[in-house]
Amino acid sequence: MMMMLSATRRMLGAACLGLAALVPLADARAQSQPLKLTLDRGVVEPLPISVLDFFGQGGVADPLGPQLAAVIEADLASTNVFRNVPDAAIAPMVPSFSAPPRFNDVRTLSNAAALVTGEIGSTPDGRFALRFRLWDVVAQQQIAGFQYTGDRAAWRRMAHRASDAIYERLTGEAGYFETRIVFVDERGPKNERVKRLAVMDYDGENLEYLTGGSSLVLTPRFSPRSQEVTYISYRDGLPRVYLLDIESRRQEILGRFPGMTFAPRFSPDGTRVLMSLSRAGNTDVYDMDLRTRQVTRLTSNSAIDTAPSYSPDGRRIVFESDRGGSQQLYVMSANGGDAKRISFDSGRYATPVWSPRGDLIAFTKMSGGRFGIGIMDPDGGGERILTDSFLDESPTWAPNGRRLMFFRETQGERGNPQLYSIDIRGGRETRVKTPGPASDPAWGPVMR
Amino acid sequence: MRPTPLRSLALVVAAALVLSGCASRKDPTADSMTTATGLGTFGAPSGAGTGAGISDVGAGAGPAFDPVVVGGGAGVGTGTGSGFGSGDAYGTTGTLGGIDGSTLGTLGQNGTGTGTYANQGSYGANNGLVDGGIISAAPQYTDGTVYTDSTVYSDGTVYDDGSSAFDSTIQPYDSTLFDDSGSVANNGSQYTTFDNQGGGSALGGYSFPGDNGQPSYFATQVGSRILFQTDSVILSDGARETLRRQAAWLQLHPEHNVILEGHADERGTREYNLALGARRADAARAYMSSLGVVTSRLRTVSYGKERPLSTGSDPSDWAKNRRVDTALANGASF
Repeated sequence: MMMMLSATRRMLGAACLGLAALVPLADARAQSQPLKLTLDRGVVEPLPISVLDFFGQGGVADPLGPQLAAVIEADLASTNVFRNVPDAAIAPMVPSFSAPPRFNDVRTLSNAAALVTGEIGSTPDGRFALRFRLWDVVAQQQIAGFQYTGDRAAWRRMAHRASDAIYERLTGEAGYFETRIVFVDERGPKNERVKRLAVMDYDGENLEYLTGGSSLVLTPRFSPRSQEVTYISYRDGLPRVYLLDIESRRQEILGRFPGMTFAPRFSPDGTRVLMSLSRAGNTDVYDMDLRTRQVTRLTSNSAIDTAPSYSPDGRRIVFESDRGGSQQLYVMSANGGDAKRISFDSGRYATPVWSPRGDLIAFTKMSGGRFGIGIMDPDGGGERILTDSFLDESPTWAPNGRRLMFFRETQGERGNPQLYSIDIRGGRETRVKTPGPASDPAWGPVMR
Repeated sequence: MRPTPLRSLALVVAAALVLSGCASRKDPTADSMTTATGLGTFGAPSGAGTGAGISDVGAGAGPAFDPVVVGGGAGVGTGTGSGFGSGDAYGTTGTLGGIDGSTLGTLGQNGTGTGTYANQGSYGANNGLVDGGIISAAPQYTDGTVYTDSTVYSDGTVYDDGSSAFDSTIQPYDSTLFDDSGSVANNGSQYTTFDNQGGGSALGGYSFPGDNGQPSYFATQVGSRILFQTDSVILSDGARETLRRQAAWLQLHPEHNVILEGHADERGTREYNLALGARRADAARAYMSSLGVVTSRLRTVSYGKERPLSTGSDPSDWAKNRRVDTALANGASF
C-alpha cells in the first residue's frame, strides 16, 4: 500500500504542483485576517477581486448578467485600489449563486482575494431583484450579501449600490458610486459658447440636459441632501441664482436683488444657500435661508469676497477674498465677522470647497502662469498640490471626502474643457466621460 | 494549533487525495487511476464519515458541495457530510474509512454524494442577504427631454436684510481710482446740436459727424470699448477719453440708455472674474456718472471670462478681452 501511495504521489505530484499549499488549509483559515484594505497609510497594493457575471433567473442567462458585473468592475477599478481579475477561469468554479464557490479551485486558478457573485431574480410579488454576495477567497466565507428590489430599469443604480457595499466592506470607507454629477455642457467656439446644465451618473451614464442653452448658465452646485441644484443663469439679463429640482424640473429664482448674484453653494443641511452679491461694483458674501428667503450679509468691505463654502458642521465658512491685495483663502464664522487668512504660499488661491469630512479644503491655485487643484488643512497647513496644467479649476468633493472632480481647459482657439477626477491620496487624474466639452462639475450626494 | 497525530495523517492523506482529485479534474478523459486508499470524509460531529466520500470542506449539517468521491475500501462512498455549516469547515471528528481496506476502489470523477443545496443553509436562495432597499428607476431617469427654461417661479419676496446695502442710493465707486477730477470740458451747458440730416452732432468739444443716432454709429464712430491691465480696474487715459465721448453722445441722445458690460480674461477663476468684470463695469459707470450722465441711464453687468472677444491664449488675446463694452439699450428701463 505504501508503495502505491508513493507511486501515486510521484505521478500526481508532477501534475499538480503547487497544491501542497492547500494542505494546511484548516490552519491557514484559522489564522487569516479579515480581508481589508487600509487606505490611509502609504501606498496601497491593489486588491485582486473578481466579479462574476450575474446569474440569470432560474439559471437562464440574462443579458444584464455581464453588464452588472461590468459596472461593478468599473466602479471598483476606478478607485485604483482594486484590480480586476478576469473571471473566465473562475466562473466554472461557481456553479450557482446559492452555493459557496469552490475556493480551493479559485485559489488555484487565480490570485483573486475577493470574489463577487450575483444573481438576477424576482421577489415573490414579481418585482425585479438583484442579489449579490461578496466572498473572502482565502478565509472561504461570505463577507456580505445584499438584495435590492425595484425597477429593472434601475439596474445601474443597483449595481452602483452593490459597488458601494463592496467597497465599504473591503476598505472601511464609504463608496461614491451611487452618485450623480451636475455639470455645464459646452458647445461652440470659445467666443460663442452655448452652455447647458446636464446631470449624469458619476460614470457618465444616464445623461440628461436640464436647460436648453438659450441662456448662459454657470457654476451649478448640488445639494448635499437631495437631488436639487443651485446655479446661476443670465436669463433675466444679469446673473441670478436659481434652485432647480432635478426630479420635477421645477425651478425657482432665489431673489431678484438690485445687483448680480452668483457663486451659490448649499449649506451642509441643504436649508441655506450662500451666494455673492455684487452692488456698485462691490462683491460680498450673503447667506439665504431657503425656507424664509431671508438674506443675511456676511462680509462687508470693498474687496471682492466670493466663492464661499460651509464647513460640514455648519459653523464656519471658507471663501476667497482679495482684501489683502490678492486672491487668497479666508475662514470666518458662519455668522460673518473676522476672517482669518489660511493660504500663504506665493500665488493666488480661489474656489475653496470644504470636504464633507471636514478635514480638508480643496481649492484652485494659480502660480507661475499655471493652474492646479490642491488641498490643505482648514488652518492652512499641509498644502498639497494634486494637479497642474494650463487651466485646472473648480474642484468638487465626492461624498466620501476622498475624491475630487474638477475641469481642465486646454489653451488656444480650440481650447476645450473636460472633466477629470482624482483620489486625494495620489495617482493620476482620470478623465470623466461626457458627450462633449464640460466644466463646472458638482458631485451630488449618495442616493438612498 | 498543533495537529494531532490523527489529524496530521488526515492532512497528509487529504493532500494526496486532493492531488489526485486535482489530476482527475484537469483531465476528465484520463483513464481512471487507482489510488491507494479510500478516505473517509472529514465529518463534522454529525458527519457520517462512513466511507470514501470527501468534500472540499466538511462539516455541519449544511448542504453538500459536489463531493468528489474517491474510491475506497468499501467501494464508492456516499459522501453524506458537508458543505458550509456553522461548524468548522473541517470537522475534527469523523472516521477515516477504508484505510484498512484491502480492495481498492476506482477513482471516480463524480461521487454519488447525496448532498443537495439546502434552502435553509446560510447560502440558500435568499438567506444571508441583507435587504438593500427598493430602488425605483422612474424619477431619476426620464426620457431625456430637453428642459426649456422658460418656467421660472419668482417668489416675489422683498429682500431686506436691514443693512445699508439695499438702500436706493447707489454709492459712488472708490474715487481714488480716478486720476483726474472727473470734470469734463462741457461743465455746465454748452451748445448742443443734432443735425438730423446726417450732418452730425456735437457736444462740448466732441463732434460726431454723420451721427445718425444708431447703435451701429455708436459702436463704430463713438467708441464702445475700453481696455484694462491684468487684474486692474483702473481707467487709463484712453479709456477715459472713450468714456467722455460716450457720455457726450449720450447727452445728445437721451432716448438711449446703456448697459456697461464688464469682462475679464481667461487667466482667472470663474467667480472672481465675474466680480472683476463687475468692478470694471462699475468703474466706467461711476466715471460716466461723474460726467453728468444720469445714473438711471447706466446699467452694469459682468460676463466674467464667459464672452472673450479673442479666442487665442496669448497675452495679446487676453489684453483684448479685459474690457468694458458699452451696449445701447434703446429706451429700455432699468
